Amino acid sequence: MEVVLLTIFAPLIASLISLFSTAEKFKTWAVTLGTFVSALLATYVYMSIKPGVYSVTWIGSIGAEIAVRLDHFSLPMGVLVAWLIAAISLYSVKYMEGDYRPGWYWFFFGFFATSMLIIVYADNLWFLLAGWEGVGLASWALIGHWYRDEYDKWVGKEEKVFGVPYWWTPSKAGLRAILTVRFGDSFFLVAIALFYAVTGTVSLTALTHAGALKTLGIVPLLFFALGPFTKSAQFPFHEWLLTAMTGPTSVSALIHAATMVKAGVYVLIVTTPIFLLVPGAELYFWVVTVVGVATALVATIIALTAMEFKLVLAGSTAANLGIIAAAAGAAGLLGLHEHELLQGLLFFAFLHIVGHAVSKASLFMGFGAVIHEAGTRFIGEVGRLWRHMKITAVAMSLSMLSLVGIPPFVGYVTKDLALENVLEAGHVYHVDWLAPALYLLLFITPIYGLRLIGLTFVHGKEPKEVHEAPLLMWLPYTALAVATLALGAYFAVFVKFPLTEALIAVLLGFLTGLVLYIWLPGVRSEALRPLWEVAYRRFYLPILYDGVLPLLYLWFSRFIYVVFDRGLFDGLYHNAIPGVFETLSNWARRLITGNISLYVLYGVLGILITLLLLVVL
Amino acid sequence: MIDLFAYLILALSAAAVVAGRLEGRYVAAATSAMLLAISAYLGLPIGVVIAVVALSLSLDWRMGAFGFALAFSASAAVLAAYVYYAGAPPVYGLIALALATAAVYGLLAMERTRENVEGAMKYLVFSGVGKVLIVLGYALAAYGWVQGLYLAVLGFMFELGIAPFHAWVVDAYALGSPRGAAALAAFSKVTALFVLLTLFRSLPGDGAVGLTALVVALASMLVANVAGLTAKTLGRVMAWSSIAHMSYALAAVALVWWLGEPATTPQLFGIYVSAADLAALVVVLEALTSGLAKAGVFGYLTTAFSDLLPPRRSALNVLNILSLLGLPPLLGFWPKLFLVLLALSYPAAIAAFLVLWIVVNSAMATPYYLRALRMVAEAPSPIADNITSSYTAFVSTALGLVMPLVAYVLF
Repeated sequence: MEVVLLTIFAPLIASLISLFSTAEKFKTWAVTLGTFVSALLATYVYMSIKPGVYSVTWIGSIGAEIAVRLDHFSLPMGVLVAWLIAAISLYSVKYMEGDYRPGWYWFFFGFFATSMLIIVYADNLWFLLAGWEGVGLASWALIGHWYRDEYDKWVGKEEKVFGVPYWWTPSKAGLRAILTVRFGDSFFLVAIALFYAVTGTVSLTALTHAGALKTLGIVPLLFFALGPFTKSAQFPFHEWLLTAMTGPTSVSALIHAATMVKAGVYVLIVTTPIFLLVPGAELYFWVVTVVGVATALVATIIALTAMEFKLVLAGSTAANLGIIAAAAGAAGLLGLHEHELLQGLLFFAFLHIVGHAVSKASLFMGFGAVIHEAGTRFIGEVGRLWRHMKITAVAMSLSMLSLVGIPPFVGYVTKDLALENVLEAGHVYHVDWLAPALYLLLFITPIYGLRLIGLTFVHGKEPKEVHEAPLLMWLPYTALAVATLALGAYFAVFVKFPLTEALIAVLLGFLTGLVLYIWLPGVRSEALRPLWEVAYRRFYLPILYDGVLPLLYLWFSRFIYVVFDRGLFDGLYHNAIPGVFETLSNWARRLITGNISLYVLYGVLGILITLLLLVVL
Repeated sequence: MIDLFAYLILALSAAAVVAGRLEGRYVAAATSAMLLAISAYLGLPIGVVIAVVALSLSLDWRMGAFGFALAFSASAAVLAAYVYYAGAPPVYGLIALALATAAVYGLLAMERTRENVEGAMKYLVFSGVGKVLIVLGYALAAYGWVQGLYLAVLGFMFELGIAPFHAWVVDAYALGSPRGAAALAAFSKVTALFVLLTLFRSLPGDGAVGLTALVVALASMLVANVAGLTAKTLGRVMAWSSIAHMSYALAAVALVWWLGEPATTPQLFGIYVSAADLAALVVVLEALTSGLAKAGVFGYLTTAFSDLLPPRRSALNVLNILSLLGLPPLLGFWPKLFLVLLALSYPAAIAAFLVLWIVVNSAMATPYYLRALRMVAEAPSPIADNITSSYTAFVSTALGLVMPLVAYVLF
């Protein structure tokens, strides 16, 4: 228990220590050291500590415990998360060097790491919630890290669509993220409270056997799902993740690709065996599956048309989160029929967390280096970088092959296994549209991957002064790129090497991508331009989030202001009541005229009043 | 031991023949010193507190012939306190009351402006009516006529300025000389309240009279606190404050007259206290709160009357005003708390109503006290605090701080 707690809290302790010095180097290395200690301990826990649940009481009256669960999900996830944090922390040493806000960055980096590890290891939902809110807070803090809102940190260009600004500064993006995530969290919190009220426990282990869940109903499950949906940027809550790219690239790699956004789908996976017990859970699993597939399709199309390096990667992240969510939902659907298959199917979904995290962390760090060296965030403004950044180009190509699902990279193995869940669910439940939708998804994915690689490293405008990234930067992402191959081989041998018709769709997409962006770049189709415009504008959803909803909220707040603030409270407390008292006060005060005859009259009246009282009372 | 006071007053009267040739502040200072010594000798702490107020005023201001008036008024207040605590015949209290009236009249008019005379005259007329009613009422009640108590209570309403007999108070405070207003608060009202307590103890209570007095007192505190909200000058704010404080004091006595001793004996800091004693403590503390704080506020003004904004700043009077507001742990907090405790010892419905009424009234007074606070704190520099404001602020704070101990010693 103590070792696990130290694994979780080592980065936070390091963060707190970092506050005691103003020296940037001290902060940097203190937190980096903390993350490496945490990673080594996570490895030790994985290898040496017996699986089980370890707990101490926290707030007994609401069933809150500091409880950690060591099982086949949390142990590998802990290792993965802790090492990714450590690798990205090392990358940040150089990437964030000379930044104007090192204290903020490194404190929230460590704070995030601990919060994320709480989610991974927590067995008690209240304890999990503490980490859940912590990663949300850290995400807000780090998206808005560059609070001076310089142009080169934005997402989008300074333009308006239907009167709505289509650019996002770090401050605005941070607010967007926390508002979206908090919206889901409020439902998530209510759901946890309902679980506790109905079953008397919020322990994930105890809930797995809680008979009282049979009386729960579907609504709390849907409330619960809103937490993971917003956290994991599922459609229609994916917008915040795209604009979260205003943060430092190391943050995008860590929080908005490899870890935090995975927390949502991870929770969907670990809670699936619990929700199987709830009557009507089929509807819940279908909601999760359909939302996942919709997210994957929408986000893939966004990635295909995005014009910023990080936006392509963010779209791709949302797409893969959709795949994992759909795989978890499909595992639940299949588990309703064949319960003994459930753990295996969930493990397939879980594997894609690993596969995607490794590939995407590498890609974000690599393209962060590209942005750092080339000085632009736009695709097309810089090209032919393989001549200047050979190591990066190779690493990015390997990682991209993994991400888009080319065998034998890890991305292929894990994505295919995850999608097998969904295809099987479609087959068992006779949902015919699922397979074509997934093939379309698999076809498009390699195209956006090769588009990014082709337009960045192979073709385009060659810059004059661009150098390879420093060792401390390229080492982590190159190591991860190599890991995509090694892990792919490992999973293929020790788990399963899938070989399905889905590979044909991937290869077709790969060939199309090769033609369009490697062999014959510059092919344009004016006929497809309206479609491209819709996708490029991200299906105009920002108009809803940045135009319609704020406007409605503004109207609502004005209504509240006019009716309640000015009308009721100002009117009552500042006007009506003081007005009444002022009138009464003036009246009472003006009785004192200075005329002694009147005073005598008051005295006489007073005597009469007291006499009357004496008689009446 | 009443002889000591008699000799002092006789000596003062004899010395009055040289009033025109002697600076009266020395007479007042000497008398205050004598009162201090007598109070110390008689074991009368209240007398010490009052005597030092008179001493402070006499050290701060040239009084001319009115130093004798200051000496007489202070003597009256100490005498009234002694009569109550020593259980002396109430008639001495009535003498003290008469003595205070004439002296305070002179002090209110001492600057000889038209406003001073107007304020003093109104005080003399209404206070005079009050005293006549008190004496008459006491005489009748002492002979066993129940109407006597009613007349006496009516007299106190005039004397203390309870609404609707309050109109004179506003003019007396606002138009009288500031030294006169200080004496009115610190000596005349204190004298009246101690006489009230003397009669409260010596006359049998009457439920109907008590209830009538309670209703009038509750209405009076409301009128005062509402009217004070729009009062514009320091003198008028203090006047409405005085009416409210006298109403709180009368309410305490009236409540016990009405309902007698409650079934559950009230507790003070864990000690059982009779309702009558608790009511008396409320009255004494209200007298001291109002008297000390107003003596400090009026005692630092350099103007001929106080129906204006203060010409000079005062820092220490902030404490005096906060004490009037009832801010813990200053002295003014305790009588309000004890009044609430007294009310709580009676049946729940009555207690709830009374507590609500007292708390609402107390809260309602906050804006005008804060206005008064700004008047003294934001007046032009330099700071004009003197011995009187320093002493009163010190006592308002110190007594407030040690009040739990004082109550423990008393009971």
